[in-house]
Amino acid sequence: MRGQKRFAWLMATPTIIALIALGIVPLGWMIWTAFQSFPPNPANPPQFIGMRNFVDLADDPQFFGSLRTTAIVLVFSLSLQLVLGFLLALALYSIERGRGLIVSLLLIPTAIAPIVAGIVWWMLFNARFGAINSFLVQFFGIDPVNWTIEMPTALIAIIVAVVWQWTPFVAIILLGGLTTIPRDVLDAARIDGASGWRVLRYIIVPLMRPFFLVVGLLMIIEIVRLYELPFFITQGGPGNETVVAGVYLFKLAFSFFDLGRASMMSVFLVIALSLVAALYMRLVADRRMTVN
Amino acid sequence: MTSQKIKKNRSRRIVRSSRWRRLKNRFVSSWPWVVISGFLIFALFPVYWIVLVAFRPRGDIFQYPAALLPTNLTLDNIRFVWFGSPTNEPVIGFLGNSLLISVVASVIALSFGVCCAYALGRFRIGGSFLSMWILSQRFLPPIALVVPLFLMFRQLGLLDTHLGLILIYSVFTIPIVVWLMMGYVQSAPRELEEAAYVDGAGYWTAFVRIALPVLKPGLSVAAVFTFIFIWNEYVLAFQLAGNKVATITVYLPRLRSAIAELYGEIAAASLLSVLPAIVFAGVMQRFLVRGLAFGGLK
Repeated sequence: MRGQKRFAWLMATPTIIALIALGIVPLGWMIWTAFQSFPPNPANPPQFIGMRNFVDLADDPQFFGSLRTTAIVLVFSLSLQLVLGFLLALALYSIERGRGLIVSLLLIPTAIAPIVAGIVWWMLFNARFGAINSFLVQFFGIDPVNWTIEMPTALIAIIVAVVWQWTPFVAIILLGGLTTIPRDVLDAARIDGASGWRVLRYIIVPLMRPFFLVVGLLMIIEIVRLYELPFFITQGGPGNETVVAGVYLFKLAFSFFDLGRASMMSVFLVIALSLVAALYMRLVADRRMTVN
Repeated sequence: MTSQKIKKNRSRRIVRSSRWRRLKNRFVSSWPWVVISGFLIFALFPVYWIVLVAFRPRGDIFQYPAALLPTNLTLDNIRFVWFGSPTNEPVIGFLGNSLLISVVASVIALSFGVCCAYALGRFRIGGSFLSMWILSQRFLPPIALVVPLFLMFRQLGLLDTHLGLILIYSVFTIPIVVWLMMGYVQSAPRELEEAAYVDGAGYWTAFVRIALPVLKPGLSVAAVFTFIFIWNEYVLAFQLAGNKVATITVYLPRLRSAIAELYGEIAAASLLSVLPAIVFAGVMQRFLVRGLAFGGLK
């Protein structure tokens, strides 16, 4: 038995070391640099400046603007993803033939690199040469829309791209959840005379809660880290209207070279994400306990 | 009104209502296909557009309004991207870098990850804390760590090297491998390994000879996952490297900042870069429906 444990620890050690070296150490380093100021010339050593980065960040309207933009994108994309994804999952659940092929086709957007997704939607939304304006002009006679350089269409373009990239993924996870619901539960409800809507509302949705929570968490992480889509589609414009948290973090670090303040912002994002993740795990765990 | 007439009327009404119901049923039962068709168009139209622009001559690309159906076809864009042109570098070196980094980092992540998943899933070391800690690493997106990693790599001289990217990508994908493989390890029967112990096999032999072959399907799924994650990654590839060692995702935006916006070339290069993704979607679907949602909750 002791040999067994020793063997198991030997097997896990490389991973633990790797995760500490390139996961925990950078995290610690980040907290340390969040209290430092970096001179423009990297040859000069950084200086400890205490809470100055924090104060600067708390005073920075662009930082709060970027958080607001992220929040807007998050609210709209997440609700669209969950509602449309669930609709699609129900549709996939109720068909018998061709599911495999359809699922592989639907997953193409998720499998495409975010930077390519940005390129694709940048092309589609282009005011002169894009397909969307071409469609509107030819079929509806609407004047071309300057999608990516006006508000709120620039934000809409980003939300559409996010929804496009991740809704199929959400649907597949939820479909996986639907397949875990025992058929006899649904049949029993039917025999008792429950209508389709009531089955959905009182049986399927409650049983699906943990799946909604998990996929919702994955999507929140995905949207908070959003960078490539705004970077390519709108480049943060018009003005700073579509600068989301990820884009602003990059600006701070690699355009303004304010690495200290960027670290402080990363610390903030990591804490925020950890809180969300912890809350989610708590919710999922609670649910499982009441089900058991 | 005679009773006969009433009967006739009623039966007619019944016939009509059952016909109506059948029609309604047919409509109601076809709603999944309406939803699915709508989503398929939404999901695939952008892909169609990339293909269209990639094979469209420059003159046609810059027409207003854009033609929604194929017009003239040309291989020029693909050729410019593949062999290079005065406005852009050939794509081949970037694809090579991406391939090298993705393959090596995936192999490292898989070997580390499967050993760790086996230790956690079979022998339950470290309790739930250790596995939760490893899984929680998955919640940290690369962008949150890019600043300290940049500083660290600058100090260690790892900026703009293959080694640096390989290291960081393996570490970012190990938790994904552990997460995926733990489900497979737990659902694999342990009796075979126990029989091997009785026959005098060591733990390592039992792992390599008995457990690994059973885990193969899971490993291939994990391999596809890690490969595509690394292949598609942009933020780290651009900030931690991107000059001497540049991957395909770094190549794409460069075409935009060139003198003219090289629409056709960008589309052609994007097309080349998404081919692995399309293969991925095909391989992954069978597993995803059951495994991913399930494994994530275990």
